[in-house]
Amino acid sequence: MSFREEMLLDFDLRAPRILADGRSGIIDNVKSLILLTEDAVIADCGKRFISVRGTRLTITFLEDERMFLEGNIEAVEFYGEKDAHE
Amino acid sequence: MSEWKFRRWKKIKIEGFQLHRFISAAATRGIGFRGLRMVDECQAEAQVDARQFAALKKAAGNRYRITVVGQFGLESRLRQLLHRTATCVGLLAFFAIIYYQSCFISEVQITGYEHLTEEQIRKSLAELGFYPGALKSYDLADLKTSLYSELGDIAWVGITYQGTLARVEILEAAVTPEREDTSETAHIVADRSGYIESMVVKEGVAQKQKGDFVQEGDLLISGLVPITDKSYTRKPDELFRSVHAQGEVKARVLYRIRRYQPAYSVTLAPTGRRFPGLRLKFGQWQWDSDRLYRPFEVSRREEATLMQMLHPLPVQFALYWENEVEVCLSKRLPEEIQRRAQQQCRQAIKEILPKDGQFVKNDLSFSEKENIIEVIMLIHSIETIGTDQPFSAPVPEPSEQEEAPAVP
Repeated sequence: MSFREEMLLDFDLRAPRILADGRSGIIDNVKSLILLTEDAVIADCGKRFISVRGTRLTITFLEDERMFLEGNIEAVEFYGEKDAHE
Repeated sequence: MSEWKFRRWKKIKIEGFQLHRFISAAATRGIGFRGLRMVDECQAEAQVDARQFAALKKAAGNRYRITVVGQFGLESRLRQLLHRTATCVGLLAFFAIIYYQSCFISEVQITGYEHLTEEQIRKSLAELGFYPGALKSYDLADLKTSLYSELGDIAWVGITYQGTLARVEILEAAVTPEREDTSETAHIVADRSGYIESMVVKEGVAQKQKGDFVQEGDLLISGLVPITDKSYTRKPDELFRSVHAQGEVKARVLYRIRRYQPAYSVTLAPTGRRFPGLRLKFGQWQWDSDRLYRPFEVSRREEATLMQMLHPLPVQFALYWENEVEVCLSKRLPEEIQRRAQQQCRQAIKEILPKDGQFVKNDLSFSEKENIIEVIMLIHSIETIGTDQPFSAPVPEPSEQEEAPAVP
């Protein structure tokens, strides 16, 4: 990957991006929350949706389009190509 | 994230349908959430910045109910603390005591002294108001100046504070022995009476021998040294050379000292009756229960200090038993009198003997007079007794040839 491509990816504010391990996860570019329960969190990240499933999920902080999740994360899913529908 | 610790934030409960929509809308308006947890489908718990709470309430409108569960953060803690008057007063008192404590000297450490004694320096410092328990706001420059004049042979004084500990460092001046002025003519005479033990003449003529008894003022070494005139040209009064007599004369000096002792000793026999009491001391103020009631005329006190402290407050608390005693007179034993006389003798030796005096022996004699025993001590001591006595050298009369010419 070239430097240009890397920069474009990093600063793409509509790209669904998640950094997660089994206990916590950081989701960037959160535009809105679609579903919020103790077992699942679905966030609209601009181009796509990110679905995090697990148990005892808590949003440790939600600020400036960044969400820090804590709990037992079991699955992460990306779906809904919004641009394709638009 | 660390700024959250310093913020004043509120723990809230949000109730309503489709809570994710409300949270998304609030997040879009720049309202941050922390510790967001869904309790059930219609209820969530979160923490928000207190400054954003009004905006959140506005965003919630009538569709969502927001309840404040608690307030947290450093700012909130401080606000809570300020409302607790007793805690604030306690904290202020604590810091005030700490500050008050640090205003006083708890210990004075003295180093560097050689010829002077620590007790001497401490005494001088105490006289100048610098002692454990004194205020620290003392003018150190002034103290140093006073200490120089008080102690004399000091080259340098350094006083530093380390907390409440005061360090006094002293550097003594080198002592140079005074040189004897031998330019003027002088005899050596006895400055006290005694029997001559030894005589070392460095300059002059010895006038006494070993074993001679000399009175105060007697000539020991003469400063007039005879000259043998083999040319027979000098007059009889010119046959002496005047010098500053030098030498060491040691003599056995006798001191006759009289001391007294009681013939009877007083003993205090306990009767078995006793009474309790207490004593309380706070700084200089003292209270004793015997001020209220004094059960016995003659008593002896057995005291146990239960509490004694200097910090934070100088308090002393003690309990005691006042034991009644009976005063009995009994004749003293000869051994006891002898022992006490020896003590008196040692004390007298310490008082009267000069620094260079060498104690040889003592003779004791006792005589009883009514209720008093008289102890007569004869102390023998070897001492240097010579002292300089200046004299003017005899001026030879001018000869006839040297006489001034007569006025015509």
